Amino acid sequence: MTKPDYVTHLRWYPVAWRQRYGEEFVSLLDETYAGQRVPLKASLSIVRAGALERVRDFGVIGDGTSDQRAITGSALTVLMAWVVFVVTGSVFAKYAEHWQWVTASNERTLPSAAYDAVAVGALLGVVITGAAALAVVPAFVRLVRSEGWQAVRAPLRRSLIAGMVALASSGGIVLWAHSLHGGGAVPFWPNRLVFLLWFALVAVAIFVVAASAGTVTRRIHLEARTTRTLGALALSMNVVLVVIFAGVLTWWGAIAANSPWFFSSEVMHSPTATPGSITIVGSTNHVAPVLLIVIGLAMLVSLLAALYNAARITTRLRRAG
Amino acid sequence: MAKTDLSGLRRSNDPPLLILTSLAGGSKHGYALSKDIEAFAGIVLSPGALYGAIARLEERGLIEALDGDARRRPYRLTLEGSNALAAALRELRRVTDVATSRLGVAGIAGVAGVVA
Repeated sequence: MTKPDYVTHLRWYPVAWRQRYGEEFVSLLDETYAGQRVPLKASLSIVRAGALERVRDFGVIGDGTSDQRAITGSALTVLMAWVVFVVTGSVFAKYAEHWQWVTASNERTLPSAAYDAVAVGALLGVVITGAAALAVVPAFVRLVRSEGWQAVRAPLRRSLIAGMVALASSGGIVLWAHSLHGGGAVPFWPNRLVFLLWFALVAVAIFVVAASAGTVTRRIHLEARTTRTLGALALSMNVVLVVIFAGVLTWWGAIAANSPWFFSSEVMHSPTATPGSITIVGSTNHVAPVLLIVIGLAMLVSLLAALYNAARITTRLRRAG
Repeated sequence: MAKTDLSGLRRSNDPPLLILTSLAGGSKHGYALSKDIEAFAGIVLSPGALYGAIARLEERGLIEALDGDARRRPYRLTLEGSNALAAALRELRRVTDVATSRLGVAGIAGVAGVVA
């Protein structure tokens, strides 16, 4: 039997931890298991411990990390929450479009305000993300000048590839969708599958770009003022996330109360539907479609994570003065 | 006087408390710690749990690494670590004293007899 390579267990841990404890950790495995495989239970424990160290290294948990690291880590977690909102919000926008078609004009005020709030929130989120990116540019330039492109090449390459894949697939889907109009009737499910695949690809690309931005930001030495700015922007983003989440829930509740037939797939996919053409299709129990439940839960979990980190940022900002 | 941070030191089977207790008997490296804890507490700490606790204790300044072979680096208790261990033992003793007085010496002997 080949002797197991205990070094492979280090891959679960962040680089800094590996540099500090790696050798003695491997030595412990070597002495404990004496050439045998690490049992599954112990392996799972290592995976869990490594994941915790990574989260700690990110600055999201742990009191031992510096204020600068904690604020930056929490701000990046808020950024990831925003990315989840971008993805789920896009699905929501696509799902909810044309809601006016099935809602009487005198019942549109509340859902319209809620829908607009989501749109305004999305716009503000983009502005805040842009401002955060601008805030770290000087520090990024300093890093590249002092350590060269080598320091950021890997995450930038990942971002570039993800961006190109997203752009190419988006271009492809536009051309493909355009060709459908001239092609006559096309089966519904294959279309949806292609759309879902494209969407999954773009969602993954967005996450890759955000994670790469996080990797680069953690390598950058931020000045105290920039850290405070990032903290303040992350707090503002929390307000935006609350507004968007409240908007989605309000829209959902208002449509469920006044136009529950909107959630009926027959109405939504009717090829003949036009604004005002649908008045009453009949009562339906589909006021809680799976898609909206998934969107709502994903937003809720992200929002809770963002709020937790907002509280952490506030504490650290106060401590840092 | 500042109150000692006892997080991870409140239960007798908390890995940080077990490590501090082990190091109170002298400096040890990871494997020696693991074996000593198994011997005196009957608890087998997984490598992940052991080094997670070591990292936190070192971060809090309760233990420190000594110079030596990077593969078998020994650790020892710091003054802060000794104080934290003493404070944790006082907390634990408060509970065990109450339990002992309520159960009575005969009660403890009886339970021990049943267990034996």
